[in-house]
Amino acid sequence: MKEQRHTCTLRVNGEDAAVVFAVHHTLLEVLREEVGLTGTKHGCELGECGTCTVLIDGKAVLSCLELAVECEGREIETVEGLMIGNELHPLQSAFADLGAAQCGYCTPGILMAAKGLLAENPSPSRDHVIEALGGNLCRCTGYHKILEAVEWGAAILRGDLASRPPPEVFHGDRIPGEEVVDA
Amino acid sequence: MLRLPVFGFYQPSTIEEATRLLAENPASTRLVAGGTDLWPNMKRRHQVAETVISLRGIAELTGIRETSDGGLAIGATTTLAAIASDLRVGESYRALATAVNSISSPLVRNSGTIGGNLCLDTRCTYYNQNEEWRRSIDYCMKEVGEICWVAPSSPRCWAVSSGDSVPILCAWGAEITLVSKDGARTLPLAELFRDDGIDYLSKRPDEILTEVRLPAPSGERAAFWKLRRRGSIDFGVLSVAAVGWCGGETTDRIEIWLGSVGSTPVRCDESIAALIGKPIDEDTIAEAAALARKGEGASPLGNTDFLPQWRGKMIEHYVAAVLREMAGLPRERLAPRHQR
Amino acid sequence: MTEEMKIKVGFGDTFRELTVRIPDGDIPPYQPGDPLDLVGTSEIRLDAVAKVTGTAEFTYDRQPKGLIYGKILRSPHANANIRSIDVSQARALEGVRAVLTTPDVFEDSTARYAGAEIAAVAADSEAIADEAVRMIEVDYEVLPFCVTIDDSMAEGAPKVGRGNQENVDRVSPRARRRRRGGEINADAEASMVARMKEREKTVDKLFAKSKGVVEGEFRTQVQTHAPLETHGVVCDWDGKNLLCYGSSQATFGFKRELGSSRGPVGAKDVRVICEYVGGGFGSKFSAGREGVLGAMLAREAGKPVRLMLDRKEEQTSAGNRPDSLQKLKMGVAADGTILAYRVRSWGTPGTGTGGAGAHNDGIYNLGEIDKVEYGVRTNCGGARAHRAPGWPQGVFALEQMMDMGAQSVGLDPIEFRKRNDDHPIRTAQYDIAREKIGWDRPRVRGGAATVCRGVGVASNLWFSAGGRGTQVMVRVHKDGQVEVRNGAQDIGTGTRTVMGMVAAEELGLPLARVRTFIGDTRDPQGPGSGGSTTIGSITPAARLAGYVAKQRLLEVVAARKNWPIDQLGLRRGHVTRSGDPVLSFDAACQLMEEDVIEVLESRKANYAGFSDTNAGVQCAEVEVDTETGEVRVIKVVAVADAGKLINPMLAESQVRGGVSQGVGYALLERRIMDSQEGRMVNPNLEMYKLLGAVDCPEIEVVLFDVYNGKSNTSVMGLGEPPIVATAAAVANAVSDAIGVRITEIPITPRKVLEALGRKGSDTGKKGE
Repeated sequence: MKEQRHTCTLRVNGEDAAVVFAVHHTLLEVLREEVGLTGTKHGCELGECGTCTVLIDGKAVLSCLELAVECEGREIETVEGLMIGNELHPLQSAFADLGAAQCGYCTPGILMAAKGLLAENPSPSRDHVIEALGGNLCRCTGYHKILEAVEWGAAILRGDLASRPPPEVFHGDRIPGEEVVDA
Repeated sequence: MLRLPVFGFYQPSTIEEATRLLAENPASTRLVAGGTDLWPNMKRRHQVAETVISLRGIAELTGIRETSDGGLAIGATTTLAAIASDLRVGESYRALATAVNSISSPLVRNSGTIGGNLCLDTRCTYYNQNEEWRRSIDYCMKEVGEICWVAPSSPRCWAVSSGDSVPILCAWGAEITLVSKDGARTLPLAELFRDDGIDYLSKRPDEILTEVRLPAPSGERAAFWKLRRRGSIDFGVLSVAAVGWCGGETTDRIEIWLGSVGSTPVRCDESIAALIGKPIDEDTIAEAAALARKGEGASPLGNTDFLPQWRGKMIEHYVAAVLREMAGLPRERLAPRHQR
Repeated sequence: MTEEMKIKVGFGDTFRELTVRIPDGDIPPYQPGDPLDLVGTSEIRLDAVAKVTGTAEFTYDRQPKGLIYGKILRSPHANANIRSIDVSQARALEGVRAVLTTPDVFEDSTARYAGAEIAAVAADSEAIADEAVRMIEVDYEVLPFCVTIDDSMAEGAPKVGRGNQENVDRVSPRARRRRRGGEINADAEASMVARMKEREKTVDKLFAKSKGVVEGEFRTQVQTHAPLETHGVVCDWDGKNLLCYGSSQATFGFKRELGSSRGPVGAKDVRVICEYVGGGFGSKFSAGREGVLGAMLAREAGKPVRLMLDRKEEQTSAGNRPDSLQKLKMGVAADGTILAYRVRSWGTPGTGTGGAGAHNDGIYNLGEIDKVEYGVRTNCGGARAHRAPGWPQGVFALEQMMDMGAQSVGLDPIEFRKRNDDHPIRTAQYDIAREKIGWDRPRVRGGAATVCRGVGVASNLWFSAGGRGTQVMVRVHKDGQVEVRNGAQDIGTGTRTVMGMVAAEELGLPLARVRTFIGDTRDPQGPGSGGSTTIGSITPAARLAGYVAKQRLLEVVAARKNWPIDQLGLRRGHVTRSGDPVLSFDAACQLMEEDVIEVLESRKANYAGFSDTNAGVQCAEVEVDTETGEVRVIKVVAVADAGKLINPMLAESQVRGGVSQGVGYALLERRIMDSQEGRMVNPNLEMYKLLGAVDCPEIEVVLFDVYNGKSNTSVMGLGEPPIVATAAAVANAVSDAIGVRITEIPITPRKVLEALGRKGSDTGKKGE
């Protein structure tokens, strides 16, 4: 059977991307192979691991089980689009600060699932976070730091840093250069 | 990377257009909405299709509305997530929300639809493997193979009906509408299913399931429990739903349905008979639960996770747990994660 | 020349002096009270931003220009010989660029498990490669097979191996062979058998003297590594030189393998790049047949080839932890001292017998030990090192024997362990674990109600001080830029970060001021990420290189400023003189005459330390439904020691990850083989059950900070130890909850109910 090609503009991370692809190609394939965004990873391609999670119209879905052709006219968000200008998204900085990314392979998918959760529920309880990440497997971390990072990212987003103590975080600049006049 | 086979793709925007397209060659055409069942299956080459028709672009197929008789009508392409978070569902059909929320993972529920869950392909350990795996055992009778690997002497396929929304919707007496080029027909949801792992739906290939309707609430109580190994992702190996109507002390009417125990959802006729006209208490629950386990059709085989004997035993415990929850009795059981 | 000196070793507030011989050119280890600005703090991973922004490039993400795709044809049969392979049709298909066969490449015409590599194709698209693979015609001589340990050990079982390979081989103790891989000398074998008999008698006598004698038979399952990024390579040739992007936990191992003149690839020069890898857990030391085929397809095709396994191949053919059957016996004196211990154990590492061992005779003082181990061949995918190889299965059995031994003399399980344990660190850990899990809290246990709770304890140890063979380069540039380089990989443990931290500490710089380079074999030699030795091997070299670079820079400053060098130091971004900042680091670099100070330092040999092993104790609390048999792990307390903690956040992550894999091992994970066709039934992530967030228990981590000595960073790796104890602690907790022992993992509801049924018949009560 001959491939049916499709030409369209996909709206990815707020930008238009003109792409040509076969209609039987998934969003995962088109993102990684046509748009050139390889931040979205994959682990099983059958919907069993959550690694390829992206947002479509704000909802966290599996890009390995979405046809790209059906994403025309919808807002696609991937990990590459999380940053706000030159600043990390609060979820990203929370994941970095708390060490929620270990080998880092499941991280893009989990970040997107978390963003999807916070869009619906800006103040999720621990149980909400666990439930929302139920489809995202991680083989490294034991999840704890991921859950904490989602909660901390949510607190930053709400501007509600008082509701919980800030985690113990050291940034690279924690050793301040002392004001010294060079001799 | 596992990739989909080549197919032609249509995105009609009306039911008429869809039924017309479908009628052209129903045998080699597949319908898709959420794709969370069809795409994995097509990646594994369970299904090949010359044409795939997406129902997602048909506005009238999606959404939840109140019907004139006070019930709810749910469009076939309404996502599972939308149903689980719907306020009317939460208020009047909470056990349905529980059941829908127990399906796979939140990621799948954001795409997966109620129509897809009702029409979910039957499942089996020897079938849900990729193509190369199945080729090397010469497939099974659900495809082009000769035998059933689960029950090699069996003349029939025992693949399992695993839609978790099915038992609770059957228990509630839901109705569905099937539409084809030649018209529409309405039937009780329970009549959609056939006890055959291969030909598991009574829906004709040229028909589209458009809607599922719930009757108006009338003071019933309902409960749903699902058994699986992990608290997410996994398909159920047993789901139990019960809806009961009690005017006074005794039960006027009750429906108890099992899912994932055979190729079709199973109505627990004997348990139901044992409860009608009686109060739901420790004794009647024990009797009804024991009858459910012995009931016809409730004999799990070794084609899903867990051993069939244990799954059989769990029918009794889970039916009891569901009836206890309905009756407001203490739980006394390690509950499934979705039940927290 | 070595320098003898006194160092302080110990932890908490108790330290003692130890005289050690520091190797020539090395610096003394961190000492309690040392003013450290970075080491010991939870600095953020240096690659955290790359990982959270999606810019971290994994092997799958590499797309050299002209990339084509490799695909492996695998055996459909569990046991077969290849008579012939016809690749002519595949080769003729348009878009096919290269075709290879296993008999040609590996000189192996057997297919001894369903999934064994038969041939490989490279083509312009994955679809063409798939089609081409299907066009390859193979004539197999199909043989009977065994895919379980019981089948293979049965009388008259089909032979898995070829030639004179028996299904069951004694792997320990072994008689001396004439040469590696040679025949066992008959005399040596006879004398070994005589010695084994002698040992048996000795131990029998001690059993006779024991107050309590307990026996058990334990089984564990095959666990696959299941990293989320599958195995594979992207290979690109330039003449005779190979550039290999590999999903690897041993960049230099890949390089050796693909560059060996005796191997099938035999590249003249190999450069392996692996900056990020999506998990390895022991399975990615070797390029494997997939890596070799990827490299050779690329050479034959004259184009870069990507050959990554799909999930099914990953689960079937990319390694696993062998299963085990362990028959154990323990004799205990009235005072709780273990007098004697007997082990007979079997394991199935695939079609070979190496790596079958279960480490069930470690950790405690077990008295006289009589241990014999066997490897059992099966027609299954081969084992690869898996996070603490041999230990989780061995300790699962050992720790249940410890509970049974305690019971036989009426001692509390933790007290009994303490009585038979003299580890200087672990003995301090038991009571912490006991308190944190609430060991002595009242619980409904022992099967007294429908839903019961129980607690269990288990221990671990490890040997991860690291060793020689690693070099780190530090460059200080005139413009103030600092580079720290090593060619080893960071598999998610944080190697890059700790390497940067110890070097930056010496140079008195914030971590953000050093640029780290890792995962490229053009940089200095580094270890494979195995045995939890990466941190212990790299950080001493990095610290030393940082130290030497500092001295060189200070020499420049001393000379140019005419300051006595013994007054100078580097701290907080400045040169200090008698402790006071006097010159910024950048200004100091400006004083250099040359463009760069380049230092390459080697990891020196280990010396004596507080402890040669690092220790841990874990306690688990579980909830069990005694009617359904379902088990929930509620909480795991993990007390762990990693020597000197370089970065507590990273250390804690290792512990949590190990525990969560251990919980999965205890309850969920298992390779299932089909008895009819000999195939793996669950080669995917729906039926092979990894622990998800929903089922993951609360994990409380308590880290010990141990000034251990042994190397200049005193550090011990922590990748493997945490997984050792978890399944054992969970199993002991389940036994506590239901009042009867579970002897097999994964602990499924059926096994719980069967155990309860046994208990019923034991006590004469009605069981189900």
